[in-house]
Amino acid sequence: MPRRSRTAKKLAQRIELSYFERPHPLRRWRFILSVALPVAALLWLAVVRVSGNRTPYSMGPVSKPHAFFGGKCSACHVADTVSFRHPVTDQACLACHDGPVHQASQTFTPSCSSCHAEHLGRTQLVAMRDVSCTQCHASLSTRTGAPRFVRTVLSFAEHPEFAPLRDDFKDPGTIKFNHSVHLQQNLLGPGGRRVRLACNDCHRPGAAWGSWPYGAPGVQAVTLANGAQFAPPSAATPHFASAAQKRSELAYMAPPTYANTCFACHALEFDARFSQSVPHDTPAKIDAFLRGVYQEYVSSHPSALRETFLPPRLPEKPVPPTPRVLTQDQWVAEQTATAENLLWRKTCSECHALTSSAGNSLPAIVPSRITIRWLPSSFFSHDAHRMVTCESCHSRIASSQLTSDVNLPSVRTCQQCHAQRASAAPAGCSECHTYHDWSQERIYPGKFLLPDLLKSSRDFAPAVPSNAASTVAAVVR
Amino acid sequence: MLFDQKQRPWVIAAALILIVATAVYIPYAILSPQGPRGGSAIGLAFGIAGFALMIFAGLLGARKKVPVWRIGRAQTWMRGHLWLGLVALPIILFHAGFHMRGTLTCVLMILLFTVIASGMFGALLQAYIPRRMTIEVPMETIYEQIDHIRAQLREEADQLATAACGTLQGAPSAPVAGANTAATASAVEIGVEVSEEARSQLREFYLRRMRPFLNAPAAHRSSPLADAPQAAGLFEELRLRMPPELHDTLKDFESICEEERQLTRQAKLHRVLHAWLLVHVPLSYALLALAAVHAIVALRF
Repeated sequence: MPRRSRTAKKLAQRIELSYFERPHPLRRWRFILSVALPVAALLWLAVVRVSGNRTPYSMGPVSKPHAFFGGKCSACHVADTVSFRHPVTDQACLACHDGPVHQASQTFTPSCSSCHAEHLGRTQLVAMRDVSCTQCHASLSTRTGAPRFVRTVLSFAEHPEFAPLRDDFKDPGTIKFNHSVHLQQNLLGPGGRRVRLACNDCHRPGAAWGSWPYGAPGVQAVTLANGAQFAPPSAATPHFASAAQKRSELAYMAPPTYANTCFACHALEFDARFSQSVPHDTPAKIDAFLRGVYQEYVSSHPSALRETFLPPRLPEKPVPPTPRVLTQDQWVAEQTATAENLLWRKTCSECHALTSSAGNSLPAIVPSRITIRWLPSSFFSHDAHRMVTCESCHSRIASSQLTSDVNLPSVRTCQQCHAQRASAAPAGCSECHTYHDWSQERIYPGKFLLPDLLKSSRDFAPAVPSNAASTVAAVVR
Repeated sequence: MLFDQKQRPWVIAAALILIVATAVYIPYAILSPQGPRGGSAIGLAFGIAGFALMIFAGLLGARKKVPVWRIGRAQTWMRGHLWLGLVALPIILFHAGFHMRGTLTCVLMILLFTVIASGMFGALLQAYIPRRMTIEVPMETIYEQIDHIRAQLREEADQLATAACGTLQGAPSAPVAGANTAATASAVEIGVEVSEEARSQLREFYLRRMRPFLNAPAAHRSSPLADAPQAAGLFEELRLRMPPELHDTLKDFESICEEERQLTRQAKLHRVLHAWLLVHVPLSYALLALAAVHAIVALRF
């Protein structure tokens, strides 16, 4: 009985030669999907384009301050008249912002968008990476020759010592103050009690609240190092309109004033007959105060005009007392002179430097010139560092005896916490420094009309300032 | 596709590209004021390089469509497609600075990852399944011929059964369209002298079990004939019950069932071997289309 067999010939005969003409299901689906998917993808883009939605094309969400312009691309992307490109120009930025120059002698001015990168989400546009700064400060050169700053700074780890600490700098203040003495234990305090002073008994931020333990009620101005008058706030509990204002107000320590910090221990006594002190004020006002006090005293004590002059006791040659009778004016003048002699020579000069000038009987008080910001090119907030004890940063303060001592912490102190490691506090340049010199900022008039801003992204037209080009030129200059 | 020595030049080329790109990217990422961004000069260079690699990978399809082009063997193109396509992923990641950012770029990145992942999966399948096919399907045929050969097998089985059992009354007509009559040449043409009871048993087995299995193997996966050991046991049992005159016919039936099982196995392996292309190829085209739009938009803005 013949059986089935699988010869090559028979196998070849089994093949249907036209098989390739029939559609292959996998290939057919592959073709259909290969056409359908790209078409669907392009259709998606076309539909969102027609609907005026630009979101798919965006390279990411814009920052919070610019979120309003998120869909209005043309607000920042200005059409180039030459090419088809719509780049972000400095003019577009300067339509709303000023960008004061960093240093007048800088050799290179980066474009706005090279530092302030958008479409990175809810990030701070002002938070710069160090390379933004080190592209110049890695090897600093200026148009005017040698730079006045350190030539090479690559990171905070290599940050040079603060200028007041590296150049044998002296505190310009004129108030004679010995921190070492005032930080000793068992100081004689108000009412004869023994006290130990803490830093914040005298040093508090400008808007510090609460009562001063060694102060007196009243507000007095003090002359700052730059010659300006500083009046400490009088509010017991300050009110801050915003978090930014709070940060600013609590950043730097206010200069200590006599009324707030010295009054309770250092009474300005002038005569044993009076329990009151002279006002902590100008010599002219003190003089007027003294004359008034003595005039009032002699009016109620006429017997004081008949006084017996007691010369200094000399053991070898006793001199008999000489009785005198003075007029009221003579008595007041003499008493005032005696009191002022005590004040000018001892009490006031204990802390202040006094100068005398010809033709003026009263001395002049040298301005105290207290420095609030030791590092004017950077920003520091005492409030942000309030978890740290004062002495841990101002480590030399307990041994400081002279006013001229600069008790600023070293940069090495900062570098203990601020470093380029994951567990450290941030150490970027922009933590302390700003690029733009905001003292040069100009006020910009508004460029947009409210109805324009409220238009849809499709109808929105950019507003390029007419003076933008000149502004950019000014920035570059 | 074999991962053999012929892959080495492409592996080296891909590794060199990756090393150079990494050597450029690291200082660029550290020194860029705002970090690595696609719009910067180096970022654009990475983008152009990545897009070029993607286009090169996509040209494999064109190369296969036009085999007469004398631009290198398809296997060589496949190796280039595999390794240069793979290195496109890190290049594009360097371009994007390892960020997804906007909607379109996010879609592009997802597409790229999917295409690369499906490609790697496909490459592994291409290396593994053909060997398995060689072992498991010695009677392998052209995939497109499977239905045609199945029809021939049914016709052949019908003729063997008719020769052994006489007329197959009540047998459902099997679809034999296009069956090659030459295929039936191997079937017996002369009846066998056996008892009517034996014929009846064989006919019943054929009509109730074997023919439904041959007609629709997918619908009879639980049939003992769909499993080689069970089928061997079943046919051994039939041989014990049948007279020796019918043993040859049973052996042929067993052979036909085995061939049918192998065709089923081949069809299954073929689908596994090629189904990933339904993901890889269409998404690749979508990726190239959207990447072109992205390039235009990015250069414009």
